[in-house]
Amino acid sequence: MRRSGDAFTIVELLVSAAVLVILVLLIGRMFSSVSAVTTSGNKRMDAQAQLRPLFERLAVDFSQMLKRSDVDYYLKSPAITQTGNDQVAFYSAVAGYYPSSGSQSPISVVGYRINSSSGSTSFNKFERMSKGLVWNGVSLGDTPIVFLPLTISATWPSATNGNSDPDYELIAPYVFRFEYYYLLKNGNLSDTPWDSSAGHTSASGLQDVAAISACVATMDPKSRVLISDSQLTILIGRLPDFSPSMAPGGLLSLWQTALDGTTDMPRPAVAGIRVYERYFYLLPR
Amino acid sequence: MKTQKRRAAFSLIEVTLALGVAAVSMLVIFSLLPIGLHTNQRSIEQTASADILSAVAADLRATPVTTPRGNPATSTQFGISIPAAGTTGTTTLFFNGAGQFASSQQLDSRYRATITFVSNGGGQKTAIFADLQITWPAGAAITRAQGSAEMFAAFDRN
Repeated sequence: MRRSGDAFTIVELLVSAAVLVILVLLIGRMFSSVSAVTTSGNKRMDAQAQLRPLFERLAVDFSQMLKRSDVDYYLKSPAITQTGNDQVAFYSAVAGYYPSSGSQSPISVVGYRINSSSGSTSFNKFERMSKGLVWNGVSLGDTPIVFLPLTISATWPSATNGNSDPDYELIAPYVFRFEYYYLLKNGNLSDTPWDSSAGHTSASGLQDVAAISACVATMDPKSRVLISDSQLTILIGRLPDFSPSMAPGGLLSLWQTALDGTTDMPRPAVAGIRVYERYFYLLPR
Repeated sequence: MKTQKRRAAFSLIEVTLALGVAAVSMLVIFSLLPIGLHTNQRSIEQTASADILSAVAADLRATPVTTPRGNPATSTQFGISIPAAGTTGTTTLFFNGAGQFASSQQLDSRYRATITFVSNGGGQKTAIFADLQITWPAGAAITRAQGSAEMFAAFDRN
């Protein structure tokens, strides 16, 4: 038996060290599983957090959209088939970047696109353009709202193509795929912004469109750094376009299937991609 | 009495005290862990439910009006049946953590959305009123839910 006043023996020290190591290991495992849970939750929140301002902005712009049969809309239609990422431009009664002089009208040209020029710092990121227009007849240099047959694409080419324009700003940096289609007032989903079955042949103030559905694919910042721009471009091509034969929600499930089948890219990055759909109501004309 | 040469060592009381202090501080640290996890979980649930609420409201708003107005309709995105003007109805949907929906409870369902159309008193000039409620977990009845988010919306369909 040990006499009082003796120090610990080497065996006692070894046993206590072993117990300590086991405890530290257990705690470490616990911390790592907790951090895995919080990381996955935070990734989802990061992805949703950047979608909220985007969807709110889209809702404001669409609801303030100028609906007249004598103005142009740059929308997906049989004449403007958009493969890959979509682009949209229209007049809306929202504020924009106005010219430095001239009386500001309440109307802006609003456009949305995924930047497609690989040299740009915003490559593969979601951009919004809002070009404030002056009133008609107040300026010789600045273009006011134009009426048909003058089109948006001829007057402001950068609103309808991939060119750079100072009035574009980044609105959702991790949204890389944008697709939209129409919910017609007859209840059908369509890629044509008018009701062909009613004999219509032009948008005519979007009289036949009840709502526009926007589908986006987004990821969180942590997943984004794992994937290169060129891989993202390939991925954009794999997410199919909308076709009118799809059922409601069919596009998103096709996207999810395409993502699940993607094996040649970093799995954590692809698993971090989330797809969302939101309907945007258009005020009746 | 024979005196013994004492070597420097911790006494039993010292070791017990040190262990006690270590145990108390460890306990405090570990009790913070579930609190942090719980807060994180709650903020995720609240974010997700706000997202579901706005998606459901947007879908209901986007549903084309019927001809004549006020007839029953079905929403496009979530297939919610909107009852005729003046009548009531309830639709229950289930959402998983990624925001995908199903009309019946699935293995991965986390949120239950209950859309209740309340009576607007008939009238052609009154809006359709809907109460949207998200509760979780999905398996629990509304009254037994752990958390909830609710909004009330009016739609011009009559």
